[in-house]
Amino acid sequence: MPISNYQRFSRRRFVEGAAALLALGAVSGTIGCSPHQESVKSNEVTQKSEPPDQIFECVCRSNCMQICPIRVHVRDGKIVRTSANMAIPDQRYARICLKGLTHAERLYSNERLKYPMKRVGERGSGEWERIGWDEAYKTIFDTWNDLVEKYGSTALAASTYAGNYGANRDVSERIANALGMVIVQSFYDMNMDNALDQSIGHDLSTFWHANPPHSMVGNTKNIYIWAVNYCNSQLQNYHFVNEARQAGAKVTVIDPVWAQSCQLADEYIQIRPATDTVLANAMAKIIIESGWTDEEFLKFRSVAPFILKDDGRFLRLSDLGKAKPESDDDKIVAMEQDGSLVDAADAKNPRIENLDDIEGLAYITAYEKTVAFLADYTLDFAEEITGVPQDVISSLANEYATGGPATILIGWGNDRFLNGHSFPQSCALIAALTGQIGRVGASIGDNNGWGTITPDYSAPNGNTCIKTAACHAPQCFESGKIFDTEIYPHSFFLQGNLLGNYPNPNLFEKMLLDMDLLVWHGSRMNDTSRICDILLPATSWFEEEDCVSGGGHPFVMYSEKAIEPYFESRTDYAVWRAIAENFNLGDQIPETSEGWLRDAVASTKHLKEQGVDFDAFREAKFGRLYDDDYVWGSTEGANFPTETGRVQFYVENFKTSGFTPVDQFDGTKYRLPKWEPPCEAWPETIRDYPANPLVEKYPFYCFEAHTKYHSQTQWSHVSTVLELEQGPYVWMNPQDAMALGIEDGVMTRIYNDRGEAILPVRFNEGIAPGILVAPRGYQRDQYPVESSVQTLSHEICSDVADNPSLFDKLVAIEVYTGGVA
Amino acid sequence: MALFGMAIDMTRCFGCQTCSVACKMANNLPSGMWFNRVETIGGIHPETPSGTFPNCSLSYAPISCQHCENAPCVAVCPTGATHVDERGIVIIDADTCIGCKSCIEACPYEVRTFVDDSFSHYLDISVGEFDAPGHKIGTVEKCTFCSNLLARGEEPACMQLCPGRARYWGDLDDPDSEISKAISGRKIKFCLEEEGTSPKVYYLQ
Repeated sequence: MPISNYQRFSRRRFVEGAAALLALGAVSGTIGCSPHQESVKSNEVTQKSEPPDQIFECVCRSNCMQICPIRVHVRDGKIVRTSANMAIPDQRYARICLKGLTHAERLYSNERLKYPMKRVGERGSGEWERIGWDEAYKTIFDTWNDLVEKYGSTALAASTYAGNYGANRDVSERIANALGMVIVQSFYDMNMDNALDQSIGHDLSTFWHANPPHSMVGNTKNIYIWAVNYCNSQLQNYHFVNEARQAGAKVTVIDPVWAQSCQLADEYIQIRPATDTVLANAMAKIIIESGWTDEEFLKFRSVAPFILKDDGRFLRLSDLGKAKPESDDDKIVAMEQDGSLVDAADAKNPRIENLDDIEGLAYITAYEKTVAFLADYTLDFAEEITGVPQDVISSLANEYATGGPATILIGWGNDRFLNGHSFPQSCALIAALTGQIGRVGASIGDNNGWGTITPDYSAPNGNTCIKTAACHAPQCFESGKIFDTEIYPHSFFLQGNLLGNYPNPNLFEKMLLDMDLLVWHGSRMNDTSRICDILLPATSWFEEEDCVSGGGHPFVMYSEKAIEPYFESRTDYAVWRAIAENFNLGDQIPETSEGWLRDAVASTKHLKEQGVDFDAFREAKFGRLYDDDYVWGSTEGANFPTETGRVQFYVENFKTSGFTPVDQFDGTKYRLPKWEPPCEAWPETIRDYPANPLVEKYPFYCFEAHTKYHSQTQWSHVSTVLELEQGPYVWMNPQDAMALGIEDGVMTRIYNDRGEAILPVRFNEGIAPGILVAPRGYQRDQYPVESSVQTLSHEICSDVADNPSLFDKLVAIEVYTGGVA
Repeated sequence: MALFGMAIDMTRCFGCQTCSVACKMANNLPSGMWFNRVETIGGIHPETPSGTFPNCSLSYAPISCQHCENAPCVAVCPTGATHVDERGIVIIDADTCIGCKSCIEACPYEVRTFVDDSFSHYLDISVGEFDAPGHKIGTVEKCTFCSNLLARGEEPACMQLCPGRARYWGDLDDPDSEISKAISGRKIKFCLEEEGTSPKVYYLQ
């Protein structure tokens, strides 16, 4: 890599120079006209000329959760530039980032696959031979037909992953169903979002359960950036935080490390990793004991007044002999002040505590159960577990409850621990106690219309695929069973980069290498493609039309086709269509992707309600999900989209978001946000929670940060991005490093029993002692010695969410003394 | 004729690098060359804070040619290649530039790059605006305030969309311009003010 002038100033002069920006005296006051003299001379080009480029309106849609409308500039059939599309109907949500600007480099880099290839050397040897599509399909389908004949349709497995978020790729779901193949689905974020779904509900998207970010400005008094480096991982909406702050909101960051989002915040609260639930529960206890609760909200918009039976279920009219069990009339009851039992929805002023006996028996409410549950979360306990001083916890509780409308921007930092499902639920608890939800300026969680364009996945032939989560796949493949269903996987069809992104890739690589035939369809070579047998080139987002949802803004979007497919690459739709035809399932999907998109738009709730069909959507490019004054859960009544219509800090029927069959999942243990330590990353003995003995060997936490330079591994080889970040690397607290004799910049080895990563260390005072932060997003061949931070992570999931616990691990670090390439 | 200037609100910039990459792509800059860069005011590495955990401090400063009224680069240019045009933009005339590098030495902001014969691009195709300035070996280059875009009434690439909504652009002589309104009443700093260069890039505090 050439020496960049980018680095030159920082190294030598700019540290002083940039610092001097702050140190120099300010010029205050109004500057209405310029102090500058008039021009000296000019030979500048002034003739006006129209750019010869064609501009297309497309959508940047990696898995970074932003989903941005962009303009794609095409010259001579090639994409030469990408820029923000200011045609978005609400310009506050106009967006672009360094990744979205570098598409030309992604599209035309050397890693881009041009032709179908077949492996000619050993797997992973990197020896390939170009073949035609006909030969590729013949090799694949001959093998697949034999396998299906011999073992049935579960001989084939597929994983589609996250590289291409649009409605077209969803066709894989329909074909997989029609064929009855095994689908290995990789989940992230579901600890948090499943818990929020259970407690405050979600709209069409599982990531949509909050007020829109613009509504913080001028309305929210306290913003909590909790377990997320918002200015990095949600950077398109960070300006709303700043604007809210400039309009008077206080911004507090609660995080184990001093993240970059702290730079424009008013307070930083350091918390021990994976203990956020304890902090929120302790706040809940203080709020109740201090009388800062919102009684109206608790009575009419939360489950507080619901009466618990012995089995923990809510008392219903049928229990009183007043309705047929499980009928529509079988309403949950509440007790009025006069002791009468009524349909809770009709209660004028329900009690939330101190019930009279009912038919001679004593009962408690969900509120009382919660109060009793919180008894363990004392200030003493919370301080010891979280490391947050008692006075800070108390003032935080006071500020949150009494400081005016508050918004908690929860991120997925906590979600990356095995116990990450309880924290969002405790946020729902403090929000319900204080009424900090369901009103303007008050909210928790994220607002993301991810997946709001909804193609119908069900196959007309009535077949269904057999799904498992990636975290369970190696064990399922080994045992030949997904729960009670027998499977016979012999070939795997891969889209995306399972081995470059998923935890414990060594385990998954072993699983894949057991297959007879590995087929990969993708656009850029990656950790997964290199062990496969047949490679099929895929189009980029700009080589087909598509319909795209999500992104933390109020719009769904149509993305134009800007250029013809690159060399011989084909779309997801074309390849899945070919698979369908091979198995005589061509009638299970529309002939063309346009037909599929027409159906998808027609079945999309929000567009349908507005009478917007595909043609209108294609013309407008944007469809609206909600109005400007939208408030999550409306502003009054039991209108939250939960089972009860109320905020459920006590969840009667807690469901898994994973594939655990209903009869094998016990949701009763998750009814309240009970904190448990994480499964591996617990290096100290605190109270009754003994340190993981692994800490003797592996004393450090290790987080795989999501920096702005990456979205999974999708920008791994983009040269301009590499020039800026110059990774991979690991951030380490300097005191920790010096104690181990590690100097800034030296090559280190991070390791545990599962794997290792060889990479240089960078001192970072923002990193708390005991923690290492190694940004993800690089492929193995980009490390100085082939390795990766993913290999350090384990694949263990809880039964709540089939969610990999990327941060829930312990590692050691040492100076690396081996040679590097 | 407009007198162009730029303002950057340091209470809003969070170092997202969008402006630097927008510039690099729009101008088809060779590998290693940046007309605009986002400097970290903090620790020894980019994007790390100063201080001692947890008492840390971090901010960012996008730096490009400051288009100084009293430009040291203009003063030292032996051929007049570097000059200030009627819009207040410091321009290098590639035909006149002899590549003596005296302007690089004179500029306190280190925003000028000498194009030597080893320069290369990452891609085989030219990216960016069709009329982005070419790269002439043996000359010095820097930010032009995207003069090619200004000529057709557009804003510089770095201004087209700042995710932090921290950048302001416009005619300093026009009190109703975006920049005039943005800087009005604000506490302002200039980069390396002691150099006496009178920049046209305003840093709002």
